[in-house]
This record gives sequence, structure tokens and C-alpha cells, in this order.
Amino acid sequence: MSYRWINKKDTCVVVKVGSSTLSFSNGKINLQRIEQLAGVLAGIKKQGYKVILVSSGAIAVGGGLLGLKKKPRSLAEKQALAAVGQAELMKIYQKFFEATGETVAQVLLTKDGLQEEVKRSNAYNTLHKLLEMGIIPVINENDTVSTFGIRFGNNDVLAAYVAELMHADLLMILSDINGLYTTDPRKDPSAQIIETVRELSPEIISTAGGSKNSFGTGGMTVKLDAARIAMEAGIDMIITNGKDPEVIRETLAGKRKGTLFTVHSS
Amino acid sequence: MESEPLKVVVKVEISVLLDDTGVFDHSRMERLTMILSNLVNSGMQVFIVSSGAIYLGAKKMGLTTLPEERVVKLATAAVGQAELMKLYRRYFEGYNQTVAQVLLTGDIFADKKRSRNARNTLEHLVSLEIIPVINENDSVSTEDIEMDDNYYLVRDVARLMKVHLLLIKGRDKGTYYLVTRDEKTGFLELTEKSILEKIRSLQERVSDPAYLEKPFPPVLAPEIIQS
Repeated sequence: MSYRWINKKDTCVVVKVGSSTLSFSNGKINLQRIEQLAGVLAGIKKQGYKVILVSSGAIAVGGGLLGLKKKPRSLAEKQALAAVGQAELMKIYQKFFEATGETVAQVLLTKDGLQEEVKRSNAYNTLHKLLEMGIIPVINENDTVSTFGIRFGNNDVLAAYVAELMHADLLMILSDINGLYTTDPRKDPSAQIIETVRELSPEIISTAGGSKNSFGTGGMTVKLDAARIAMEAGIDMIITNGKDPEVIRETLAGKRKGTLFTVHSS
Repeated sequence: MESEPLKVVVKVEISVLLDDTGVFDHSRMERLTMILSNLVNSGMQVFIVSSGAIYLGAKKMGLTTLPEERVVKLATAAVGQAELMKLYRRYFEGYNQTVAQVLLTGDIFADKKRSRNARNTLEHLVSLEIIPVINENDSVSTEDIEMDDNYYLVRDVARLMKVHLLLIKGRDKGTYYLVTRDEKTGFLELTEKSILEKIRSLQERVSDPAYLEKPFPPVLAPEIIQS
């Protein structure tokens, strides 16, 4: 069996990493994890894949940098921390990508930027150009100016819109869960990972509804929102555990872990 | 419930920061500070005991060989200690870590009041997530300086701060040696990739009060570390 992104080196892959992958439980950044991630992404890019990274973590990094002990609660506080943290996050990405010989570019998006036609084609052109120049775009929501109405609200959905905009072949969502389970794995030891989802049936949606919190910002439900966007655009999406970034390379080599959402037959 | 942060003394001998030709290797320093920054980020309290003052002082002063005469050694160490801290500060800054220089002499550990004072200072520093870089205060030290590769200093700091683990930077790139108070697992070779996971896997065992009563095995003794 083979999906079009398996060992197909000229395809476009969007990788989304959440704060849970990038930081320790105390909110501080996990430098070695980011270094590994950069190494793997640089590696697949050198193989010929077009690589786009959608990265959370700005608020966590900002909080760590300012030595805050508590998670920010108000929107304004989060936005301020994001402004501090985004610069720092890019500094870290730059450092580790530079060591691999790759260049990164920061692209901050808001929802209207991907929905209004002119802005949308502008975003497309920029990202397309960056890829053409052999640069890895690192995308995040422009938290500092995002308010109700123009917010994606979470980077899973942002990543799906980016994948759709760029006609990506695969969207990989790295999280702190291994995939979509038949039942809540924390409560039910017999829970099993659903390997492939071909339709977002009511059963699937109710399965996901049972497992929220601790799974990043929005839990499994928002990941299914992202899956819907991807599937409607004909893009395959995989949810998998990001604790070892090598999973990206293995997936592209056909050794998949996690849950694949696809409308294509293999 | 949050457990007590793990305290780790990291021993860095200047020779592990030199390349094969004996020149200070900035990429090794960069790796070391990245790995230690990540340990701090993960919630550990890290104390560095680092030599290198005489070596760096000699370089700075344009000496072609390390000084032998005592007074020259002390003067060279005074120059080099500033250089050493400059390097630690520069590389740790890249990972948003703050370092503090703490210079100690052997007699401090024998004096109740002075050792309490030193302990309070170090404790306060690590509670602020600052990394103390500790060295012998050579300029005023009456002992043989940099003769024992800081063996006694590491031992004394480990005892003073009741640290859970010792980590020794190995000579080969990316290698570390982990020493526990539990003699059975005395001297464990780690790589950059395995270091964090290994230390975290020991958290529960080394947090046992009975464990902390045990002395560290003498694996740091100069004659052993040579082999």
C-alpha cells in the first residue's frame, strides 16, 4: 500500500507541533526535543520534501523567559507573553536549523489572512516563494493581534488551513497522544488506536469527544476539526506522538504510527 | 504532587573542552551549555564545578606553556577565571540561562559558619534557576592549586548541597558519566540523547532520604578518572 507522500520526495508536508511536544511539564522549553525536530525536518527537506512547520509554544516560551510560575489566564496576558515568546522561539529554531544548514522564516497568520481572497493569495505567494527558495517556513498564529473573530483559536486548525492553502499532501500533527483511540486510554486499558479513519462518522466524533483536556489546547475534538478541513481538501492527516520526532521520517518512509485520516484509498 | 527538584553537580575539567590539538573547542562548550540548560529547563538544579582558570589565563597572557612557579600560577588563574566565566556566560546566555561565579576554598567546608553561608548562597542561586559555576579560589588558596582536577571540591560541594547525582563530562564528544550514591550503579556512561531520560528515571530512587545519607563512591578520585 502506498499513499502519495510515502517516499515521494517532491510532495509537501505540513508538520504541526504543540506546546506539549516542545516544552517540559513546567512549561520550559525542551531544547533537545527542538534540536531533534530541526534535525529531522532538515533531513526530509534534503530528501526533497517541501516542509512547512506550524509551531505553537510562544506563550509557554514567553512565560518561561519571564519566569512566570502560573499559566496566563487573560487574553491580554497571553498575547503579551506570545509577543515575548515568539521572538525567543524563533531564535531557538534559527539556532538549531542553522546547525543543519537550513534557513527558516517566520510567518504569523490570522484567520482573516487565510479567508479574504486578496490576503489569501498573498499568503500563498509568500509561502510558495519561501518553499521555492528552499526555506522552511515556521508558522504560528499572530497571537498578539488575534482577537475574537479572526482567531483560529488553536494551531491544529491553523495547520489544516495552511495545508489546504498550500495544497499539501500530508499534514502531520505531533501531540502528546499516540493517536485516536477507540475509547479513552486513561480509563480503559483495552483502548486501541484507530489506524485509519476514512470518514468522520458520528461514532468517530463521539469517540473523540470523550478525551479532552491535557491534550494541548483543544483536545481531540479540535483535531477532528482539523481533520475535517484536511479531508475536505483531499489532504491526508496523521495524528501521532511527537516525543520522538523521528516519527516524521518513519512515517514518510511508510512506517506509520498513529491515526491516519484519509479520503484516498492506499 | 511536585517532587523536590533533583540536585546535580556537574564536573567539567578543562581538558574535556579542548579539541584534539589542545585548543579550546567552542563547539564543545556550546553542546555542554545546551545540554545543561535543558536539564535546568526540565526542573533540575545544576551546580557546575569547572576548572580551566590557569589554562585560559595562560592563553590570554600569551604563555606557550602552563606556568609552574606558584605565584605565576596564581596570577594566571586570576586572569583565566575571568575568561572562564566569560565563556560560560556567553554560551549560557544563548539559552537564556544566568550563571553566577562562586569561588570556594577547602577551609570553608571545615568551618560550620562559613559552610552554612556558602550553602545558603548556593541554595538561593539555584532556587532562582541560576547556575552556579564553582571553582577553587586559587588566588587566595593555600593548597596545591588545580593539582587534583577539583576532585575534593566536587566531593565537598556534593556533600554541602546534599546533591542527588554527580555528572562528569567525559573527554569524548557528547559523553557524560553519571555517578549515584548507590555504588551498584556507580559509573554510568550516558550520551547527549540518553542523559535526560536516564536522570529522570532515577528521580524516585534518589529522592529516598536513605539514599541521600549514603556517600558517593570515590569514582572521582584522580587516579581512577585517568583510566
